[in-house]
Amino acid sequence: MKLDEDQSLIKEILKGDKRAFEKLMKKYNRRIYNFIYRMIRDEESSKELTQEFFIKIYTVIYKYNFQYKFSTWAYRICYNQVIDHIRKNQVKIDSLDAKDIKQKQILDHTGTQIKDGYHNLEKEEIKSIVWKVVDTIPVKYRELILLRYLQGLKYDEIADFTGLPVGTVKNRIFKAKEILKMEMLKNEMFKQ
Amino acid sequence: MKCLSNEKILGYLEKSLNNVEYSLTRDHILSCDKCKSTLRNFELLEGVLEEPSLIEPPGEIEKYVMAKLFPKFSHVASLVTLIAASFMLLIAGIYIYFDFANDSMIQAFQLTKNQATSIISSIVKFVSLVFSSLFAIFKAINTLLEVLLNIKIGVEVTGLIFAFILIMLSYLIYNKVFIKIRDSRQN
Repeated sequence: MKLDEDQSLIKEILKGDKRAFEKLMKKYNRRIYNFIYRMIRDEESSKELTQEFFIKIYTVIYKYNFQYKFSTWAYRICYNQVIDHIRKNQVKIDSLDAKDIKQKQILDHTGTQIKDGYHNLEKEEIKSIVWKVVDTIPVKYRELILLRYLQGLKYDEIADFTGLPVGTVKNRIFKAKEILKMEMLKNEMFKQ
Repeated sequence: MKCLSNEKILGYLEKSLNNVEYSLTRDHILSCDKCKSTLRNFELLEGVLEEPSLIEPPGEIEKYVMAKLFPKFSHVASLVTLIAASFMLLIAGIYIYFDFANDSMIQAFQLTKNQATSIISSIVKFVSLVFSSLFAIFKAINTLLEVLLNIKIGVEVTGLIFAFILIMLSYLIYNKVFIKIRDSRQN
């Protein structure tokens, strides 16, 4: 069986190589932290949960099945951990006040020139604004957007994680994109 | 001509429509400016979502995890334990060999003084000092227990209880003090 990069690292970790674990952690740290942070939106808790996640991964790594992708296995652990945290702490994860985002991030750009159908904004700026708008959408849509685009999961994998039917996952992601497009249009980031 | 639903346009973009639906949608988009614009917006959105804007995680996450999983302190603790265990073994060895319990301590000291090097002589001297001090403490505790509570357990049992309490205390201090200091340093 041919091992991918992550799996080779896991083999080394199982042999007791702590540098291999450090490498694996460095690779996933940003995505895991960002997923947790965007779900619970609390810096301190996100930091603690990310730390707990990596400690958990290390302690259960011997249970990892080499037939599956490590990322999917790890993201599932992360997702369950976040959901548990939300349940236990009854974290308020409903959408941010959209007005804040509009005022602070979007309205700053309304004076820009229209060019080729879009405002003349750098892609990086649009990216940053879209992702800030993601934080404002209801959690039932946001979590699916995060699983799909931040963790790069397929529809069936998301369905498996969340326990929702694949059709519902697809519909909610479509709905989330409609909401995002509407928000961008409302703030004249996209042209009608 | 009625415009396409967002769902249809997104399906077209994701190529999840069947062949007939796909062709019909493509033909409509080609002839409808509004749907063309909607498709363009969704394309831009898709491109942006596929490249997420990531926040930099706090630097201490990796440091904390590594320190928690592979603590440096444990090496120091193991070294101290190893030294302590060796020392205990040495004491026990000398104790058994020279039979200190039968007051042959002075004799042993004399033997080592005459026949062995000064290092061994000092070790035996130190061990005999530790032994006699501990023995004196155990004897005192034993007498105290006997006088105050009328409990006769013997010097050896008192010694064992004393050693057990000492080990428990060391463990508590290790957990409460050293680990707290280490964690506060890491945070």
